[in-house]
Amino acid sequence: MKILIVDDSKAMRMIVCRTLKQTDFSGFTVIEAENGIEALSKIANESPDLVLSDWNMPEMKGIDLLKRVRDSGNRVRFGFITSESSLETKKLAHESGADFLVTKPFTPGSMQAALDPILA
Amino acid sequence: MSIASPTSFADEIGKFMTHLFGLKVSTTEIKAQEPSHPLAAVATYTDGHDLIRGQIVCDLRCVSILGAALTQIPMGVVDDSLETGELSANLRANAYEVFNICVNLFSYPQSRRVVLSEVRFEKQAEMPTMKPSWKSDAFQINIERYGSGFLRLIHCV
Repeated sequence: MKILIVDDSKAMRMIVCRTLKQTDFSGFTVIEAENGIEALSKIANESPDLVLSDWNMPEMKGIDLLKRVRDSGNRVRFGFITSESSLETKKLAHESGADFLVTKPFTPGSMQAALDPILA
Repeated sequence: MSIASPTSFADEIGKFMTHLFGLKVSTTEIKAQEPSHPLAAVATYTDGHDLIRGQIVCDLRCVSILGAALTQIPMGVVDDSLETGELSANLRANAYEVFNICVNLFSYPQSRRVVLSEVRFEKQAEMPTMKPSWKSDAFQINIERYGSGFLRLIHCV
């Protein structure tokens, strides 16, 4: 299992990684991208099994990254980890093909709950 | 997140930050108007345009420990900031992330979007001028292993 974490904040990438390690999931490797362009390249070249992306990023927002991925026909499992929690955001994420959205701050428990249906 | 009462809101902030840092955080509402350290950060939240929805004001100690606790930066880095009055680059970047996530402390009805508009880090920041309709609460934030700091949360309604 290869998980791509996309966030412009190095601190948040580290926290997401740390939290993943605190869940019951094991046997995964983490790769990182600090923006949407880098993420597209890693999705194409490294074929992650799951993408965990921030919503608000410079250059390319997470939602635009998701649309680019889906437009290319790639059905990789894709979730947002974001401080955006409005209904509009959740609706847009779902309509654009996201599998889930986790709101910051998250806990190992909330991360587990979001990933359970995806990784089971 | 709703504002049931100032007391429960303090508890909610504590729980929110406990989840954020993975460290025990307790929050106490305080009546003191003046923090013991100079104000060092003012985060402003808007509706995505120009309408201010909320602000968070922290003293130097608070913004330092918020930044440090996020990625568990050693306390010595916090001490250096307090001594020099300047936040290190990594404390500043982390504090920005904390303020970004704290947008959810201003989640009014969910249809009203609130976004972090800017964070001003200043050596001697000034308390924002309050408007009559704004509501302000001051808190002592105590983070396990990092100690405590002053945080004022302003709801601009």
